[in-house]
Amino acid sequence: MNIKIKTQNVHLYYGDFHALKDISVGMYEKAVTALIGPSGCGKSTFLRLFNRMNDLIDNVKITGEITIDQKNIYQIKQSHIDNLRRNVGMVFQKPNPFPKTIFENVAYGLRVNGINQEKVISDQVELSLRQAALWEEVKDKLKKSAFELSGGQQQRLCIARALAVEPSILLMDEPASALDPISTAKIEELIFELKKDYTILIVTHNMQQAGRISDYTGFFLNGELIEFDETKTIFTNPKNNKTESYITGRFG
Amino acid sequence: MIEFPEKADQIKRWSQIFFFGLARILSISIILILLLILYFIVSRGISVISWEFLSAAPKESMTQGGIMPALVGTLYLIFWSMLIAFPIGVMAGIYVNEYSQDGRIKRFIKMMTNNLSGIPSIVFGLFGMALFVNYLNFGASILAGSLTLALLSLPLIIRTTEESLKSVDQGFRNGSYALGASKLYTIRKVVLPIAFPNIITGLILSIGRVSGETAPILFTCAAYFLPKLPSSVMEQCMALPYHLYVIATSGTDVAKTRPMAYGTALVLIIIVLIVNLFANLLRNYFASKVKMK
Repeated sequence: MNIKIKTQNVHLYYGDFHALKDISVGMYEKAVTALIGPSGCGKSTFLRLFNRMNDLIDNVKITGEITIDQKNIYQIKQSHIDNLRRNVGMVFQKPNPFPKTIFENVAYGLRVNGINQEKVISDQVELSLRQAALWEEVKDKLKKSAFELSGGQQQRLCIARALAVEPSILLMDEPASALDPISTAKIEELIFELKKDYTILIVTHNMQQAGRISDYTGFFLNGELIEFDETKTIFTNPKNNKTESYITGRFG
Repeated sequence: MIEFPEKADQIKRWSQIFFFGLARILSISIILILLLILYFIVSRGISVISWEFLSAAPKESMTQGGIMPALVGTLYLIFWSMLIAFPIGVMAGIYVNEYSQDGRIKRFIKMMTNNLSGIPSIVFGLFGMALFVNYLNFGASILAGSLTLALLSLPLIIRTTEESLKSVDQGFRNGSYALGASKLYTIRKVVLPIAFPNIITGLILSIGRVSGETAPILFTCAAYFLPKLPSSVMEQCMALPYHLYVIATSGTDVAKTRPMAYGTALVLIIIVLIVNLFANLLRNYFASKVKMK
């Protein structure tokens, strides 16, 4: 398998706070990589490196090399950040559909990209909703507000919205933490389907979830990447004591 | 063993009844005062309201005739001042909340808008006279008056815009950025539509204020008496609040014009209510375009 995303000696500071410490790791294409660790360990910050969402926060300083497909994404023009974000979709912890219709939510990214032929848009909206396993539930109410959907449906809508612009990478920041168990199971099934076509990075608090859905797992603690390996190795035979303590529930 | 003491329960119950009762009485008394003012104006003013009162100019040294030039003048002033102040205020509010970084410039702008809103309106009037009437040589005119009123209402519009934008959940912005949308696109397509109904509340408040102000137009625009309507923004106009002041204090026969003063006040109130009604419809229209539910 190819390495899709790579970091080399990456440090990140929020003002004086050293949030990520010397992180060097490669993540594989068309695989699910789970990022686990206790609250405040830097896993979400790490995730936001790859679509440069950390840039939106004041006083952030990032050093080191971060590449996607061998291109350093921190040495691109400011105006190319938009292109980067189209290629690297993101799903947030709290479902955040826009206060628009279901259809317009999915179409939003296409319109951002200047696509305005309605036929192209409606085809892509249907395709994306199907990919997100939401089409059957919403096909008769595309003109209704996205806020009429349940939390789990809203999150799948956000996934469809991200897929519509055809990214190659999907970043998911605890996408199921605000959802009930049934909705969570649906999201997990969906992730399993999506990894055929997408490189998925998922931050999760839930270790069983990491074990169920991911191929690789990285364990973060206090801004350091303690261990990164195949998920089955991490969960059955971790090399680091701290990893073992965390996954056996001794802290965190 | 768990206990349920009777006495503590009584105190709790009575203090609840007392404080909520007090709050209820106070809020009802505010409504009563409002109704009282309305009753006062309506009962004394309604008798002079007629088609002639609304459609004719004052006659016989303002003891006869109507208030049409003042009514139309006030509508002109509302229209032009809001046309100037609303876009500028909204853009300034967008700049302060969305673009400027936290720091000195932002703090300075916020401080200045707060200070601006504390300046007495007569000072705005003097400033408007010095800048627009004399220095820029617009003369006393609808243009000079509207610009002065626009300055007066800017702080309110900026503040309401800023607050409305601030209340838009950051998650909406992040969702848009994550799809590759630029900041401008995000503001246009996501943030502003959500905030706009609340921004219009600022417009409504400003209209209420602008339509009732006398001092800012005293030296910049208002005419004591004009028999006909102005034909351009470079001319003076009459205005309801100033007309009210004139016939209530310095007319030729104050006692005789007293009912007309109340009639003028009534018309002013009704105009503000009607304009607000339209603004509310506008707000509901924009709110219906945002699919929050």
